[in-house]
Amino acid sequence: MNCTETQQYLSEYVDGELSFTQRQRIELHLKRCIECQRELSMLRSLLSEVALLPTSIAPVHDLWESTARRLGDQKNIPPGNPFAVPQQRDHTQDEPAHHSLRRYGWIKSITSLAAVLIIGFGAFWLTRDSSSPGWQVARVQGSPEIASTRFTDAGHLHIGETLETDATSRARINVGVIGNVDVEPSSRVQLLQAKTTDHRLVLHRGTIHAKIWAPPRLFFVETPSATAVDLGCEYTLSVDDHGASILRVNTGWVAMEFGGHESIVPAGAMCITYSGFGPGTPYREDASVQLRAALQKFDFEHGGAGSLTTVLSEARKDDSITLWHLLMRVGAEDRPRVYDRLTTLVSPPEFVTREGILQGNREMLEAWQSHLDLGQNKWWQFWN
Amino acid sequence: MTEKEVILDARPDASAAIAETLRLAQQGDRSAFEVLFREHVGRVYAICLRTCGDTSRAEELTQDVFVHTWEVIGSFRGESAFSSWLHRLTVNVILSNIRSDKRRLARVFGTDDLGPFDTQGDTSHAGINLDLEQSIQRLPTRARVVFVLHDIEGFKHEEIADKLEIAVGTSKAQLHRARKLLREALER
Repeated sequence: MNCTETQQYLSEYVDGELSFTQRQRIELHLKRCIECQRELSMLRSLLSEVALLPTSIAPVHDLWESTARRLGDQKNIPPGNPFAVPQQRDHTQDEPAHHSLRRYGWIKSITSLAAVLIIGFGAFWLTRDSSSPGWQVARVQGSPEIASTRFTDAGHLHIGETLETDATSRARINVGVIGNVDVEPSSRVQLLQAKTTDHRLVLHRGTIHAKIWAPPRLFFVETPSATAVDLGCEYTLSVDDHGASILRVNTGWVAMEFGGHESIVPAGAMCITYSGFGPGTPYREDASVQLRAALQKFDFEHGGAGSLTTVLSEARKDDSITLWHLLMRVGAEDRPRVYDRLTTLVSPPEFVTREGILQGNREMLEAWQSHLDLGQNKWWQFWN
Repeated sequence: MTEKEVILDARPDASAAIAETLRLAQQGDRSAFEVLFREHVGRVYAICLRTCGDTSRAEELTQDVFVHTWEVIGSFRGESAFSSWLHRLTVNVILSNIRSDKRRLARVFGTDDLGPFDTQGDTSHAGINLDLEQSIQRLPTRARVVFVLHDIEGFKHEEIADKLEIAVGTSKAQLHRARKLLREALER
């Protein structure tokens, strides 16, 4: 295969749409052709950039008014497939006359008034964040700064700006309308995103205390070593000067994610992360000193089998969340030991088998997790 | 409806508010529909802008999408996420609009014999700059539509071919062409 042929098929090659034979021929050519290697590299680079394009772009003009005027010209909902787009519209009727409105009638409309009250919060929540360029900040103590400028009682943190506290100052950030974040002394946080579906801060250093009452996966805090994903909770997160972080969860759940690795941390547990390692295995705050030390060695110091032995022997029923994570983190040779120990602490559901767990069956792992009695938030496992 | 979506819809507070917003919009409540509009207009506009490559036309198309959504929202049954439903509807409105334009029709569909490196007659990419977003908007129409649907919106060639009423090979050729033009643009 020559360069012209190879480059003609590179697009399908990166999309995985070629036959085995075609792939082999291209890879054979790529091994000896620097020019085609460069083409392939550029193509992959382009696709990486494309993957980072935003899914949403704000129109230059507010289109609601012009759209709303056209709504008044519409007739009833056309029957049949809603995706069958009509080519021409009838503009002779002024009444919107949705069929569902006619079907439900007055009684339904009256009852919907109650729903208006319910929707009030939802509508406010949905619209306020998307139109706001940032979040309100209140000074709690001392002289916190936004974008290197002190503010007296209240300030506004715009996207991209940084809020800093010195050794004697504190501040509270209102996270849209879904919660608040207390910024402790000697901390530096930056606002990355303030969208309805993505509330995102960076904690460069220091400590924050977050209290979020929104649905899960709407509030994120990025640190140098992992991202804390709110799953409906209250937690404290600290980052030191080396980028390492400590998470303590007070209520609910938090997921710590980095490079495809994830630790699910329930209330009463904590999780340590180090730059380059990602989130360690979560453990209960009241776990024994021996267990915590052994876990530290296992996660970050290549502690291996010896550390695992200590963790298993020290584990109590309350430490089952630690052993459950270890099922997915130990090698195949050690998994039976973890399985056997966890079985003595929390019996697995009936359909969960030893063989299935040892083979890493995700459905069985999730089922067993739900038996660990770690709280009522069963939905979190579907958010991975 | 996936298990994840079932769980999502079962969540309290926000999901209940969203469900109520949808229900009221289905009953003809404009305020509720405005909430949906403002929540999703950026996503819809992005698809329109990238597909048609022109801000004025993208704004018109965005309005078309929401007018059509208003017309048919009563048929939304919650069997998928509303955003997924709206996304599908958006693409269909855009393609319907393109198909209804005979001039564009000829440009988009008369390409079965187009070679993957054939850029003959293309002058619209002459001003491509380093900005990827602008470069996409300046791609030739047929290459741009296929590129946006495949690489940004995640459609498969078979789906694109079906929607555009072209051969699968043509879709692949246009994608290859678009990627090549973009690489050249980003090299400059």
